[in-house]
Amino acid sequence: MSWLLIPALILLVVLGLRLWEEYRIRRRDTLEDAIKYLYDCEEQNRHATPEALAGRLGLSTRATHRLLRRMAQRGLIRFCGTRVCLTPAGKALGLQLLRAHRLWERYLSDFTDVPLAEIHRLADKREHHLTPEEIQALEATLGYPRQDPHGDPIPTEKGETRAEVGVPLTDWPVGKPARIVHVEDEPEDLFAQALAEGLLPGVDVVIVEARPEGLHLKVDGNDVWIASIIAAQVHVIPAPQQVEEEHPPMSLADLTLGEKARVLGIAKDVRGLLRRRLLDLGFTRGAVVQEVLESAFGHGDPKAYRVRGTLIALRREQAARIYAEPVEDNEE
Amino acid sequence: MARACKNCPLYVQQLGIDLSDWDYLVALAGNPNTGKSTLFNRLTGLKQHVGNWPGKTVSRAEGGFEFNGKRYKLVDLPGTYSLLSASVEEEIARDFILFGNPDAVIVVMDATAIERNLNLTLQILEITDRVVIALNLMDEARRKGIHVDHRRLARELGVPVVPIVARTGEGLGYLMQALEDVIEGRVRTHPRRIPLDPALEHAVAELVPLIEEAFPGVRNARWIAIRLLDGDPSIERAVKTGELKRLISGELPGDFLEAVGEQTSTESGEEYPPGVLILQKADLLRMALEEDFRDKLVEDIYNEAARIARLVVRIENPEALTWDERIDRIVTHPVWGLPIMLLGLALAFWVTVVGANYPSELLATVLFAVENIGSRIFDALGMPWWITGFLWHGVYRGLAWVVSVMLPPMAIFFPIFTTLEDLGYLPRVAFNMDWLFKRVGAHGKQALTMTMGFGCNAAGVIATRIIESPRERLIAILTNNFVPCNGRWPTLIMLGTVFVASAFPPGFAAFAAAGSIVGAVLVGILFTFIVSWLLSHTLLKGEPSAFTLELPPYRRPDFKRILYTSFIDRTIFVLWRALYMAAPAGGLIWILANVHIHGRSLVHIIASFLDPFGRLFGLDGVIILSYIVAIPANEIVVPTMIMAYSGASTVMELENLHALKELLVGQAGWTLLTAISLMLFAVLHNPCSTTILTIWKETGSKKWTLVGALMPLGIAFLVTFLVAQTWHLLGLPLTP
Repeated sequence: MSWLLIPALILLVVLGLRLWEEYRIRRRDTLEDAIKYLYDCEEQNRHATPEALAGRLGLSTRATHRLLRRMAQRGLIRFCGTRVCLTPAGKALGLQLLRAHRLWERYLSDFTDVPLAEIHRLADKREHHLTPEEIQALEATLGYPRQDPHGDPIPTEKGETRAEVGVPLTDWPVGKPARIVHVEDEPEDLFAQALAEGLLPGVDVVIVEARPEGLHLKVDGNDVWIASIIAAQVHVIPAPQQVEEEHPPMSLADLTLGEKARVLGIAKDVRGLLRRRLLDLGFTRGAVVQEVLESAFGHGDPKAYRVRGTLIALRREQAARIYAEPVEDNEE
Repeated sequence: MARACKNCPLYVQQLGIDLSDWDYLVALAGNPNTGKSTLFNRLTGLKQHVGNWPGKTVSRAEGGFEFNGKRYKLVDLPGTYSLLSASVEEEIARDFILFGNPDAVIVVMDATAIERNLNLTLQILEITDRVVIALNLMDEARRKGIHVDHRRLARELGVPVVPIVARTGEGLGYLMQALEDVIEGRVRTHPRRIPLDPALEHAVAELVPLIEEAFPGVRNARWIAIRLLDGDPSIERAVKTGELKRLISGELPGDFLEAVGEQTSTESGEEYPPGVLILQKADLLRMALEEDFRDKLVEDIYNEAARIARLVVRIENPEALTWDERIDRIVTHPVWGLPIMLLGLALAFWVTVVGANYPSELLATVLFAVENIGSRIFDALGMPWWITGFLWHGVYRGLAWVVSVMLPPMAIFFPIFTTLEDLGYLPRVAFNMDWLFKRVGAHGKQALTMTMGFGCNAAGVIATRIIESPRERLIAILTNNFVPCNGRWPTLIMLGTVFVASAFPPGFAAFAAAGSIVGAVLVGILFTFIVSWLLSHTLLKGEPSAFTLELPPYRRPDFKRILYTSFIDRTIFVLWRALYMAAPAGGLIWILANVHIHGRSLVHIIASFLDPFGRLFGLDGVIILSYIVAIPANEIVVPTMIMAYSGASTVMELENLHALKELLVGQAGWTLLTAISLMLFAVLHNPCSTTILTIWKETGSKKWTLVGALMPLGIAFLVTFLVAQTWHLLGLPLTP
């Protein structure tokens, strides 16, 4: 049985290397988890003490001290009194991890069919493996999302939270409801004028008319005229929608053989790859779709629809996310 | 005009791949299934440069033609429905139109589906104004009673529209003339621009002056602005680094096609300040837009398309059930659908196996005769025996073996497959089979890539490009190996006829042999489903997933193109593989058989070393060795085994099956268990090196390549181990 010895030896070496690698990754992940926790604390203006950190990471006091020493050596933290503070390098790493985490959550929910409950766990693992370039590319692919699936903001590379930054009112389109998030307090006289017109954070406004010299606004139902220099001081975001979209009674999955329907839209939770694909195939609002074929073997799943002159087969889950309304046969 | 042109002479001179110093560069764009490649072949002839776009797994074809004394280079862009989704194909098409500085773009439109085709056309008109529309499939439209007012269409779009029938060549002369007119400026185009949603229009209007200022001479600032708002990574990079300036001025190294590949791969750190400013502005403007502004954009384009289509298309008795629908009702019928499909596939395989028999023998006779002559000439020249042996009885014989076994079935199977593909039948198979694949988390189109795998697994892996969803595509790639390819059929057929058939009375023998082979294939298919399910629930969790399937209208296949694509693309590919892979393997076998240490050949020494390992799985040392040698090409498994058992000094063939059985059972001590284990191993084991290489090229990932190579091997060992040990435990008979 001497021939067994060689593969066994190789196996042992490979296993040893693998274990060592595993240990190093574990160490890095713990350090990064600590940084993320500290970053979170600073964001929310909470005090981060070594004890709290130990509790959060489930480490012994000794292990926590070793960890803190390691982080200090690498210039990521410093001690301010009893608290632990992040250095600029530590902050940068914390921001990177937070972005990686939330963007990955967004990716999982938009592009894959991983259940929402599992997303956080998967992102907790993945956040340690993304390089800054990968994070950037991911952000672009996702179309610069503002929030993760849980509604938490995804900060930009510079650490700004998009939802809060807002756009100057001067760049805002006419007719679209906006909510004020920020009014510049410098210079003071402009700030005072803005306040006098009732332009406060949290107030909803609509631009009625835009001219080079100024804007005509509706603020809480009142007509207000302001100069462009004041408008530039006021930062707004899209006003939150009051009514949530109600599910229309019918979708393409409900059609019977030969029946026609007009597309009302694709459900909001269909995102990313699939949404773009469906749009490109012509399932846009107003398109008239006819069901012409059903799979006999899958009990009517998939079904094929004639849309804009071509036959496209969809599975039931997808067809059920495309809302529609019935049309008369002789219409179109 | 269209009909008149049937008689008009065609002054197009096909240039094939002679692409040296062309005068004009023309891109060919269009939706899938519009007859784009038929037109391409019509214009350039059968000699064309076929390959992949640099760094991408998307095929690319180039060719040339001459018209009115001017030389044109034609580049076939990937067929896409849109340029907005940022899929790889769309990115390539978009980049080429935007940055490739083509002198003109021919957009091929399907006259039977104007509305759908207008979506892409309108997007291309946003990017460039040098466009000529080839309104293809006019014959089909006439047959279906669809009238297209092409003059009105041309007025609406602001560019020339030429009705053509690419398959017969009708209208091509006019198309060329229009192309020349547009390129040389005799016809001025006024392309229609898509009316945008007011909010988006506002944002675009803000960006356009900035872009025009930062990049003087830019022709399509509006489109670039839309793409920046959409957050298109490659355009953003081009703006941020100032790369766009070079691209506009055409300051590109020689061949643009290479440049695009480089451009996306090299990450230059430098920034172009005005570009960075534009990006910041775009970021701000994007925030002011509704989150679903992309939906609105696509909607606007389609609304415009629908408006134009209503103006130019008239359909005679639209309610009549078309032929297509009638055929569809039959091939997807609950009772007839499945038998038609199975019959069709069985027929395809039967034709392949039977049809390949004779040419295979003929090839073998001729090629082996050449070997005899060659080695005799070497002998006569007084070459040392080992040179003659290595070159002729090793390298050449390995080559001859693989070519004669592999080439004929491929040359028959691939054209049949391509015909069914062109006919439009294969997508219906995917439609019928999808319910099964859906259950294991895979895509219905995997049925097609599996069928392709019966011909060659490497070709099957390439064929997975038709699956647009990344996760389902990976599943199809990683499991393709479980359908036995051409190279593995000989092993299965040998085992079926020698072992299984002989255990039955003569009347049943043929059925038993066929049954055992079908059984082995079914085991492979079973494992495809099991492994697909496992992969989609473990490793591939978290990979993007989507399902859409186009069922194109039935079309008369273009046989010239079929022969071309199946011979050049697929069969020649296999021949190259034989040259690269089988030749060294042949040489290795010869060395193993002819180098002796202490009177024992290397084959002997290695085989007896591996023997105890092989026994664990019901196999033996020689079989394991054969599979190691056969990693480059599975065809040589059987000949290598025969060589090792018989102690012959070269790969050889035996006189008849009886002699083969005598050798395997009598001398090598094979049992029924050996035969069963080997059959299982042949179906399940690791892919050949070409397939592994192809997996690597297609996935671009070492991880998935490793999984694709090692997972089947692990499964093969596991299954044969379990079977062998159970067999021993139960004390089942060993004598065949």
